[in-house]
Amino acid sequence: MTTSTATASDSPLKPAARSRSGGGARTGHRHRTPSGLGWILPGFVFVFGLIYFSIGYSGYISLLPWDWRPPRPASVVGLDSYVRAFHSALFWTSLRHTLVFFVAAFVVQTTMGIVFAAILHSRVYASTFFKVVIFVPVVIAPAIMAPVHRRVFAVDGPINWILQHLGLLRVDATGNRIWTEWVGWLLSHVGLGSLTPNWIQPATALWVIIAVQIWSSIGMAFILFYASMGQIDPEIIQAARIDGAGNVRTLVSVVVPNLRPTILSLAILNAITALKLFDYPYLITAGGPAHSSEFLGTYIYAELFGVSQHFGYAAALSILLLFLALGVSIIMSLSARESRPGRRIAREWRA
Amino acid sequence: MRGFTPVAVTALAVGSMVALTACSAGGGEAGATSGEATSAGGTETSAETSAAAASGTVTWWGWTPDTPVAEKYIAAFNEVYPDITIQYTNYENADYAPTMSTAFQTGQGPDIFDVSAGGNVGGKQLWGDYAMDLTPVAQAELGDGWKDMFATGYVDQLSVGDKVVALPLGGVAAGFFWIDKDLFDKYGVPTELKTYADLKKACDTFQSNGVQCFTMGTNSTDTFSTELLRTITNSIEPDYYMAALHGDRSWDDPVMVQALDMMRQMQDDGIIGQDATSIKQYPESNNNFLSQKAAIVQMGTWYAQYAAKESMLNSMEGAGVSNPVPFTMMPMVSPDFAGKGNIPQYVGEADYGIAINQNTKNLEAAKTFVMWLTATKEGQQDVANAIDLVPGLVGVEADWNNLGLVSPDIQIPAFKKLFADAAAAKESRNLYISAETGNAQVIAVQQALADRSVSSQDIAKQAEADSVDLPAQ
Repeated sequence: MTTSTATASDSPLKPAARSRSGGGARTGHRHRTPSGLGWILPGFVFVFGLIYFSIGYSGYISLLPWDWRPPRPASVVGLDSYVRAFHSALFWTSLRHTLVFFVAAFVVQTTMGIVFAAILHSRVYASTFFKVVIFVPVVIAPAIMAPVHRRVFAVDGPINWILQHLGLLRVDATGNRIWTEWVGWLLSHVGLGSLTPNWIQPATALWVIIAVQIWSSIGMAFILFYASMGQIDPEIIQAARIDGAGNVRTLVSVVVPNLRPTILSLAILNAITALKLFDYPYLITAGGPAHSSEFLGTYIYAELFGVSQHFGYAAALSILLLFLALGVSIIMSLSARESRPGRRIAREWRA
Repeated sequence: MRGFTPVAVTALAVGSMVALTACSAGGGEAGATSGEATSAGGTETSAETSAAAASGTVTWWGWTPDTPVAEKYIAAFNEVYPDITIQYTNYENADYAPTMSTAFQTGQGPDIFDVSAGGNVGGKQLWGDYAMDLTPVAQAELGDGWKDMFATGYVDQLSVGDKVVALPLGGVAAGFFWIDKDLFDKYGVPTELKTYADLKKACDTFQSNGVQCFTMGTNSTDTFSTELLRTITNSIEPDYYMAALHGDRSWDDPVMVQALDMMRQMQDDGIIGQDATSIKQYPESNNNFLSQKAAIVQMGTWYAQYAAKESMLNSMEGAGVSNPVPFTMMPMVSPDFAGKGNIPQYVGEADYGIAINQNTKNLEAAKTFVMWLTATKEGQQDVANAIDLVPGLVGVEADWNNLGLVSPDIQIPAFKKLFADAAAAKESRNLYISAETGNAQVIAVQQALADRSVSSQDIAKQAEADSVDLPAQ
């Protein structure tokens, strides 16, 4: 690059020197600080008191015996609950489900969100109607939709009804639904021979939750991408057109790279959603059958309220979840900073 | 008008936080102290309070009875004690523990609450710590030998050590089935199914007529689905389950493996519905039976309450039936699943009792209600007439002829026998099942029915690994 000979002071990337104004400014600054601090303090104390005290208290409870519960006397035993978590197959299963959920939901939401946004940025008839249709699931509470989804995926529900009328499954003499011969043959040859048309079973329950979550949140991805696409300079698109790029090439090579910040934001949102996922798994599958759709959220809830009230263990799981969320946020934030165009250009310039 | 200064606002916030923290930190200690004082006070002044000149409002939380039944109890109580208001809140089984736990942590617990002998909903091991010892109250009201006034073992089953956590409202038994006799008659199915082959044949008949045979829901942490597992093990080897509960046999014993295999066979034969892993016992299976979509359901004695016309109509409407017509439901002894000549016997114990919050501020009113409902003939007669429970007080029996049963001629003798057999049940139902063991069996049943890629042996091994024996009681 020719810029390799340029001096740093010539670089437009170099931040402007800070103004070092005189004592008047400093005096003004000193004068404003106590006043601003005073107004911030109540909120700070409130937030610190409620949130951080709760976190700290959870940390304390996590050091008590794993099966401790109030009002029994408490005595600190150390990190037993954490050791127990790391030795728990269910803890790792929950994490694996979280990871699968994140990857699947993120990929599908990003792809579909971009496609929907691109389509609705073109001249589509009744586009407002379609925008509403896509976005409505976002504003419906999971508690309202969960019974509907339970019905949709029921053995005698609409999905199996459709499959039955497509000739993919049939009802046998005992009333059970079974795959038609060629579907059964196909499934057995891809290692899914034990799969039955019962969607709430260990092999498929996780995917039911993923599908429902995608359905309910794809509108948010769509809105983010739709808004982000609106910020792209039309001249860039025109230039691509003049260079002969078709719709797909323009979308892939011009539009999508400009959506990078939005994609990163969506990744962070999805990671947070995956880590704290609770409502749909709890309401649709209760984390089952046999823990096949267990997530950290449902696992913590089950330990705290569901069966035995293991407060110490549940608190340890909560603290682990906190560190996981912090770690993911930090990694993604660093990735986002590294991916900023300015930093990229600066890195290239330094090279 | 002068505005607040930042310093004042900050001081206010800090002050509030300190106050909150003080309440929070000191609450536990204060509560404990209060509880101790209350218990001690109860001992000293129980004689004075035996007449319990009570008034006020008492909050009662429970997962049972259903609200209409509780309202009947309360109405009858208020005829005697009009100055005491009882506010009953019914929670679904799965909601009871979270609600109770949160409420007790924040000092907002009810004045009185349900406690069961075991199980993972209202087990005494979960909630006994919050209850006051009712020994001095009962002794003062009923005199020495008061435990003998209740059905054998009921008081001890609701005790932790020497502390009587709750007074028994009544008993319960399970290990049998309920059938819709109208459907059985309609399709010419005999109402006694003695063998597995009989059950299979009945289910084939129902199936061919578009009626689900047996409805069962396992998609929950409650232990209803394990009742069938236990019934089957009892048909294979009657003493196995209790021996396993006491640690003398393991949960991966061949009996357990065979029982899990039989459940799979029942699913393959269309007896257990394919939807068993995607629905819950409550509300879905319950609704399937009450809306006459299914002919058989496995529930315990508590289910008898729906046999009366009025409660059945309410329940059928609740199950989504628009113009309900009451049907005749009957108890059916379990078939001999294993074909070894073992008819599974009833398992039962004290179902639940009512405990008094050791920190209640309405102690006299709470004591008055609890004692009236559990230890007076008037209160227990109402309990008996709800046919929700086997009455806890000895000598009380339902007024069978005035319950409004749908088909009294055939139901009364059947129900009399059912309740007599239930009261005589020798094997406990939940008393020795830890929450972990109950949960492990729920998972085993779910996996047996939903995941054929795992063998019954491996499922049983996992159940053994996840189970926790209760300390000797």
